[in-house]
Amino acid sequence: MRLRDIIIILVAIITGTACVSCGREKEDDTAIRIATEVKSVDRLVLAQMSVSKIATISDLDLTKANGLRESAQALIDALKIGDRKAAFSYNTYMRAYVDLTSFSAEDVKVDNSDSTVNITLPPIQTEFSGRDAQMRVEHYRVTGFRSQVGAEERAEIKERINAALKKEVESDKTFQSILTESAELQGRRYFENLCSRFGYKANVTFR
Amino acid sequence: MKTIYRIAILAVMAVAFAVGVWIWMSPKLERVKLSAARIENVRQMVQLSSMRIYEEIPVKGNVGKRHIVARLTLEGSIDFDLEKLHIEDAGDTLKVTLPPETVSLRESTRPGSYTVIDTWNDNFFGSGNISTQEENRMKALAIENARKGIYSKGLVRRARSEAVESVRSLLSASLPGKTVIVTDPTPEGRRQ
Repeated sequence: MRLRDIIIILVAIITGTACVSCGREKEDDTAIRIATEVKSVDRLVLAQMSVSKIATISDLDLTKANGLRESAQALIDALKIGDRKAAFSYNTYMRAYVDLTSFSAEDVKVDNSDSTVNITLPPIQTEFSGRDAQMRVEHYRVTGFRSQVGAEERAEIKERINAALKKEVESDKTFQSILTESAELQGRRYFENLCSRFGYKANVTFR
Repeated sequence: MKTIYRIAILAVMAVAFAVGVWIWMSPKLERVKLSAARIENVRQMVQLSSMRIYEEIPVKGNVGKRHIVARLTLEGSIDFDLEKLHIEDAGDTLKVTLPPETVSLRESTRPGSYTVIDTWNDNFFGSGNISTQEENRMKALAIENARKGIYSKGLVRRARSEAVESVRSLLSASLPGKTVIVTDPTPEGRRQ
C-alpha cells in the first residue's frame, strides 16, 4: 500500500468520524427542544392546596446498619473525612375545580315564588397543578473531603419526592377530602353571593 | 504444592464471588429519607381557567466558569379571578368586564420533568458544582422567559377570547332572565 492510499484512508476515517459527531450534536440539540402543548379548558377552580415533603441526605449509621452490605457501606462512610448532611424540600400544588363544559342553563332551576335559584354544579375534581421549580435548602452541611450535593443528585431527590408524594396523596384520601370540602364551601359561597346581589337566594348542590 | 495453591486461589475467588452476589442481592442502600407529606395551606378562590399549558424548555446558565444544561417541563394555566369581575347592572342587562389574566407556570409533576443533562467547569481541574441557590435563579429566569413566550405566541389572547365566552355562559346560566354582555378591555392581556 502506497503512502497516498494510506493518507486517503485516514482522511476518509477522520471525515466519517466528524460527520458522526455532527449528527450527535444535532441529536443533542433536539433533545432539549422547546415543545408547547396547549389545551383549551373551561374550569372553575375553587381551591388550591400546597403540600410539602422533606428529603434528608445523610451517611449510613454503623450502629443502625442492617445486613452486610449496609454495614460495609456504613463502615466506608465512617472512614470518610467530613460530614455530608442536607435536607431539601419544595411545595407541590393541587387544585379542585368543576368542569364547566358539563354545566348549562338546564342545571339551574328558578323558583320565582320565593326568588330561589337551585344550581346543580358538576362534581368537584382534583388534579396536581405543578410544583415549585425552586428547591428550599432546609439544612446543608458538607465538610472535609466530602462531595457537594450536585444538581443531578438534587434532581434525582426531587423525582423521588414527587413519586412518593403522589403515592401518598393517592393512598391517603385526607388530602383530597380537605381540598374538595374547601372547594364545595367556596363554590356555594360564590354563587350565593352572586345571586343575592340580584335579589335571589341560591341553593347550590354538587352532582 | 502447585495444586494446593490453585485450589486455594479458586476457593478465595469463589468466596469473593459469593460475597459479591450476596451484597448485590441485598436491599438497596438508603441515604435519602423522606418525611411524610404535610399540608402547607389551603387557599379558596374562584378562578376561571381557560387554558392548560405544558411546555418543555431548556435551562442553560453559568456562574463564572461553571455551567449547567438541563431540561425542564413546565405546566401551567391561564386563569381569571372571578371575584374581581366588574359587573355593572343595567336593568335586564349585565355589563361585565373581564379581569386581568394570571399566567401561572410551575415545574410539572410528570415523571422526569427536570433532568440535568450536564454540569461542567471551563477550568479542567475546577468543580462543576452549581449550588441550589444558583440553580434556583437560573430556573426562575428560564420560567420568566417561558412566561413571556406565552404572550408572544398569542396564547393569552386566545385564552382571553375563550374566557369571554365562558364567563358569559356561566353568568347567563346562573342568573336567569339577565342578558350578559362581557367585554375585554385588554384582549392581548397584561404582561406581568
